Amino acid sequence: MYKWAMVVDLDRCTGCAACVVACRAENNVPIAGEEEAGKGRASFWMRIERYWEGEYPNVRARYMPVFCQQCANAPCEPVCPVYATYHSAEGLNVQVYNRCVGTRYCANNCPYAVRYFNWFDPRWPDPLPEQLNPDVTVRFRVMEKCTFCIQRIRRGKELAKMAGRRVIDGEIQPACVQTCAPGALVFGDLNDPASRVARLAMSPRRFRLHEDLGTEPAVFYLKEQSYG
Amino acid sequence: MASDSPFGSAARVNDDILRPVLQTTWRFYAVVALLGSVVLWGAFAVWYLLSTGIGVFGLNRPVYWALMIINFVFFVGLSHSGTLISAILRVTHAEWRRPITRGAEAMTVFTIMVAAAFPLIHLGRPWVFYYLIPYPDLRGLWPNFRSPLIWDFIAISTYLTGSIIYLYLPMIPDLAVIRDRSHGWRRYLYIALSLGWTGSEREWSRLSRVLGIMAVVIIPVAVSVHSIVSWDFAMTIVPVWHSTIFAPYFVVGAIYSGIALVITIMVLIRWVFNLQSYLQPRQFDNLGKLLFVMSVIWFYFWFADALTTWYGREPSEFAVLRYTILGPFAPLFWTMIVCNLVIPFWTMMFKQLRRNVLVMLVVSLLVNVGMYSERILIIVPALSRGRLPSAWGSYQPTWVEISITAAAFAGFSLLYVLFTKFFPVVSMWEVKEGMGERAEAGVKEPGTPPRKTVEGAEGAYG
Amino acid sequence: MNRREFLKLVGLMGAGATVLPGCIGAEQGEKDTLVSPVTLADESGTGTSTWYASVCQQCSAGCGIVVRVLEGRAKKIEGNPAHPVNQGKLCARGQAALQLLYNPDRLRGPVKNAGPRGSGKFIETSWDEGMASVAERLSAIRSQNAPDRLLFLAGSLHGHQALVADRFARAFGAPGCTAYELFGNDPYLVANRLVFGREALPDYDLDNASYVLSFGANFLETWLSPVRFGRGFGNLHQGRPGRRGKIVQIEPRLSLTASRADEWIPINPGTEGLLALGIANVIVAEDLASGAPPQALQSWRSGLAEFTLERVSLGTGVPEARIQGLAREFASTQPGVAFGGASVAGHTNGVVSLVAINSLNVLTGSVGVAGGVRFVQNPGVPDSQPRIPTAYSGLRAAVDRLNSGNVDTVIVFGTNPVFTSTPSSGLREAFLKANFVVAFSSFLDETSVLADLILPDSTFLERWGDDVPEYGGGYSIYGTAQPVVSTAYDTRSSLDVLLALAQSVDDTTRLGLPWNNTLEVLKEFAGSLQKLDRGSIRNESVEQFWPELLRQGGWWLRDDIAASTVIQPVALPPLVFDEPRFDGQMEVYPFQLHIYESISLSDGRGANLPWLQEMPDPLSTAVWSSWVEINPATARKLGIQDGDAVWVESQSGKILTAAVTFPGAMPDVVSIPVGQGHSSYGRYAQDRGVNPLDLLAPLVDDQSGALAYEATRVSVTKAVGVPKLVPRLVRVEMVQSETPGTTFFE
Repeated sequence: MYKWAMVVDLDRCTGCAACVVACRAENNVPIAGEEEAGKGRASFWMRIERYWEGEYPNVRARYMPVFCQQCANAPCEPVCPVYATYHSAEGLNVQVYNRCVGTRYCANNCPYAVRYFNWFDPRWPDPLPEQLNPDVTVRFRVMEKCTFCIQRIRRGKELAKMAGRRVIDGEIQPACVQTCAPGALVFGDLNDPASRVARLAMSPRRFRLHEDLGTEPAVFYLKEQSYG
Repeated sequence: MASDSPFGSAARVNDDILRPVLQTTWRFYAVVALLGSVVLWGAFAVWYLLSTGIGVFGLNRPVYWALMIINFVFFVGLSHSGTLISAILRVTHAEWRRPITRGAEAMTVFTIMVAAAFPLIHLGRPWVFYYLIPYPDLRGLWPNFRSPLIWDFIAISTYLTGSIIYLYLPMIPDLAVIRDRSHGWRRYLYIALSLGWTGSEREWSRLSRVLGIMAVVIIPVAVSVHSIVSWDFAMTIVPVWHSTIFAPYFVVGAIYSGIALVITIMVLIRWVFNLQSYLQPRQFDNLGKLLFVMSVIWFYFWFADALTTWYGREPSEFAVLRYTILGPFAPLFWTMIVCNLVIPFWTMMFKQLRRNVLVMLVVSLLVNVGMYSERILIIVPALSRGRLPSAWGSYQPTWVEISITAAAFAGFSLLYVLFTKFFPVVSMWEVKEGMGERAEAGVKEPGTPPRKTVEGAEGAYG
Repeated sequence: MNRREFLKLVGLMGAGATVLPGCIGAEQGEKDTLVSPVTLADESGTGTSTWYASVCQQCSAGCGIVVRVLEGRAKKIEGNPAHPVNQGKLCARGQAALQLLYNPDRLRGPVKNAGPRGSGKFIETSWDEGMASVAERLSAIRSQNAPDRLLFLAGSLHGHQALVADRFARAFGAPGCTAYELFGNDPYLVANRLVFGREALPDYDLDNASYVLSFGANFLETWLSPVRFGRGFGNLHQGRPGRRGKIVQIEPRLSLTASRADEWIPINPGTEGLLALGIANVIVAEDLASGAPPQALQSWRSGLAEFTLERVSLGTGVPEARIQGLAREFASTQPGVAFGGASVAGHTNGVVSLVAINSLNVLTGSVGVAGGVRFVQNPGVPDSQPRIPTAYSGLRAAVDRLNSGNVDTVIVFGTNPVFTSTPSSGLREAFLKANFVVAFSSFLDETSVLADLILPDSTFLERWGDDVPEYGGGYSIYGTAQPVVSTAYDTRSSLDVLLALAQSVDDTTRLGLPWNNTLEVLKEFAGSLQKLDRGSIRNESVEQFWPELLRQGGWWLRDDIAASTVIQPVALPPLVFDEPRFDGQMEVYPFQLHIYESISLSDGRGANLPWLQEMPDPLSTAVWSSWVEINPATARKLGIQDGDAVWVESQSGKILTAAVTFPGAMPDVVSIPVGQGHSSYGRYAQDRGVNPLDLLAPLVDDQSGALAYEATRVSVTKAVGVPKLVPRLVRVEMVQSETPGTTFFE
């Protein structure tokens, strides 16, 4: 059994947002447009949060990529009245689009605000629909969020199964991980103690977002270091 | 004996109360047309919503719930007092309840009907709302009973059913009276509705027994409904929502706003149908006392909750409280405090004011303004100030939401107006019973109880 | 090449498309998937996706890409894991290149002007007709023997594009290609020639560096090769256990790079060179220049003495102690590297400053070493590409030529200078004086809208091409680009069109261009690579070498660092400082205008891609818009609040935009990103935001001729009227006092 997890090394992250666009491209996340984005309705399964610290000249901006934390103890799951979101055996927080009726309860209860709703039916002017990833559903009026690129996980597992082996560490990469230039994102199997993700998750720099809530996220952040 | 009572005989009671049912003036049509057009406009807004998407609302990330849920909570709250007051007063044999019960019970049924529509409108895909119903489907998939929304669904349907029964049962004798007085198609309607009520002693005693049971049963249902509505919020980990006090706080708020609406409706009925002799200052005095008590209890609960948050200084909770009190919601916050505490407290304290019908009307309306503000303040600021500051946002309603809200208020009023057209808005037999009227032996008068159903019934208008 | 040929080739590549185990292997599983009963276009596979290697041409970094193609449609672009520049990684702009291919506003075939020039009215025409009309004009020019009647206007050119374009232009006797890039490399090339003796772009080895002094270079955002530097950044911070490097960013605005650096030193705009000289002075005076060649110390020692801490601190605004500290840290933490770019190059003293900054590497012996400045020796790749200057001064000369009325025909090749130059250049008006303008552009942009004829270029995903990136982390690289999908519309590769035009004009021109199409150019070059018998692909025959080259996405050869160290300029330039010149009086225009290349939209070329428009700017988190960044205290003084509409006015123009209070802004510097403000360029770009270039005075860098885009002073006033809110990801800026503690960073 696998247990998928992600490590985000904030000391490596450059905040360049390549992951943001890669995620959109991979997961058919619709474009909101200026007006809707202004209302806070743009969907970013992967987003880079920016925090200001201090005032000029001792000012800093900090960045934190935030996406579904795939909590082991996910607050979004029990509140859904129709089981549209549930926990997979591999530790993923899975969203069943067909099942979702759109109560948006899960989004309220997500302390990380990583759940996005299709406020309108997504539309792409021709021929932009040609870009859509055939492995990923286009969603209508339901809740959606980061899936750890479940389509890639499935394909990687199928391949491994055909070859009669376990998935090799690094073989499966979500779109954000694959494109991340500084290597700030690492994805892998936490059950494999030799995997990079398992080793990094033991780092003394590790923390998880709002750990005090007891949500047990599968995303581990490594805090920044200072020089010296 | 009949001549002793302030408003004459049982027949006079029938005449007074049935007048609006049996006679229709142009005013009725005007009101129906007015309310109907608002409702139609709301229906158009709903159609636009369904054909376009939830995006026509002002919702966004992070404010995923707003006006529709606010309305839901508000109307469920309103629904509370009707049945609850009537049941409690029946159980405690409060004599002054007699002219109030029917109107309050009807209010419950209609507010809860309106309230139940909001979660549906609120859904992203309302056409699959039936996924929430526990029906055996091919996939063997039940709804998630861990979700407070399922509890809600069950509680609301139970309460609606119970309230309808509780409205209907004590209406049967009155329906029989109308049956005997009406003609044409309406006669057939009342024949069907009155279930062949003849007014025999056995019927009366059974009705009395069933009412006794219902009154006791409906009280815990009513309390549970608003507790469960509060758990929609309290069971989450949203800052400020996640509070143990929410259930009683919501119930208290609900009773409070419900009583205010009962007062409003009583004043209006009294005025529109000339029922001054039935709805006397005494009724308003007692309702006013209730309002006073509820206002104080409401504030106590609010204060206990806010104080804990304030003192605890848990950062994300404190951010919400700060935003509520000092942020752009400050005007709404002070509206709530003034309307829910200051005004009711300083008016309902005085007997003269409680007995002044106009004062009662104004205060009761203000209390509901305050309670509506409270519902907004519970929902929107908590969602606007989530745990990650980068996802902070705000909310403003659009014309669609406002239209649907207006239609809800109009719809409730319309249902009520239509109710008064078809059913006696004051329970005739209970009034008669309170007057000590008795059906004379051998006279077939289905609407007058043959004996006191309740000991010590005399004196309601003494 | 017809489609049959293309398909054969594609088949060939498909057969061996499993080079890249990381991402490509993953696709094999799809072969067992069900076949759709729907009849597919003839070139489609059957639910099987194939990955084709190519080169990203969204900027000039030359990253290798692999494109997932399913049933004849490109579906996703990833980095090529084997490519030395990006090693499987990609930036946001590269990711978004699919929307270039599927852009709804692409020109779908040749069009010609129908109405007065610039009216924006076009009607469809055919390739035959269009080509004939251009050929006719070109023939006439040739027969008149009036070479300067052709103006060939280009942007930065990749690989053999440069060779073909330059030979084409020269074949007409025209004074070669005129190229222009707003954020061009000319100042770096000049400064590098002066200090390092190489007119080339080096690789800055962040992977191995322990200390990085970056003057204005936004190397994590847009500068030279952001993906390569992004990789280096990750390694510098956390890639070497026990040794975490330090980055110091010196620039007037807290850019993304500055905010990710370990230290940000705000500096008065234009004085970066002065700071470098001050640091150099400390290094020399304190005898820290251990690695410097004696010749360098000798020639510079006396000149540096005048840059005392006091003078430098006064000029730059950096405290004396910090200057001294920087110098000591930099000299003592080896390996270290210093470089300057972006805003430094955009001053009238750009090259002078860059020379001073470059000299720091010489003083600390950081040239040609791991963790320092490394020039690729290019032993493998023949230096076949001419370097065409892209400076503003060249564009001005072209405008003069146009204004003189001598120019008959203008060819606009892969560039949009009307947008990326300043209005004060007069280019737009000058265009109207040419007799005939033909543009090779995939879109109706600000320049092509002025053309008489547009022969639309295919996107880089539909055409052949190549690139020779210089900053490849110690590799000589030749990247090959291939059509990963067949042309979606009636468009043609502009390079093919040039070669066809050359053929049809007359034989003399053909002498310089003996190829029928781009493919032939590339194949010929592949032959010469194969003969080297070195590098990543070694094959007996060209027949085997060529498909392997395409399959791998290029050829590369690891440089021997030791061999690349020897760089000895004939004579080291004197280290001096020129005061920067600014347009606009301080009293009237109290703010320095700092403009910067947008991380997503670049100089505006990305503005028509919705994915990039909706990518939040890292600092302001704004999408779909323009804004001006103002220091919060300054804004308070001016009575401006976040989101207010403001006028930004210079001597050359004024623009209305929204204010963003920006804690990382210097009090007297306001910043505006370039990229928005298109008047044409499709639905996503048009009439959105403002173009800060409208404000610029036409000052240039004295030595390179590059536009001094940092040399304008502006005033900022609150505008009366309804502010247009800037849509942002972070909609509520948290107020420190009422925020839940963001303790995650501690």
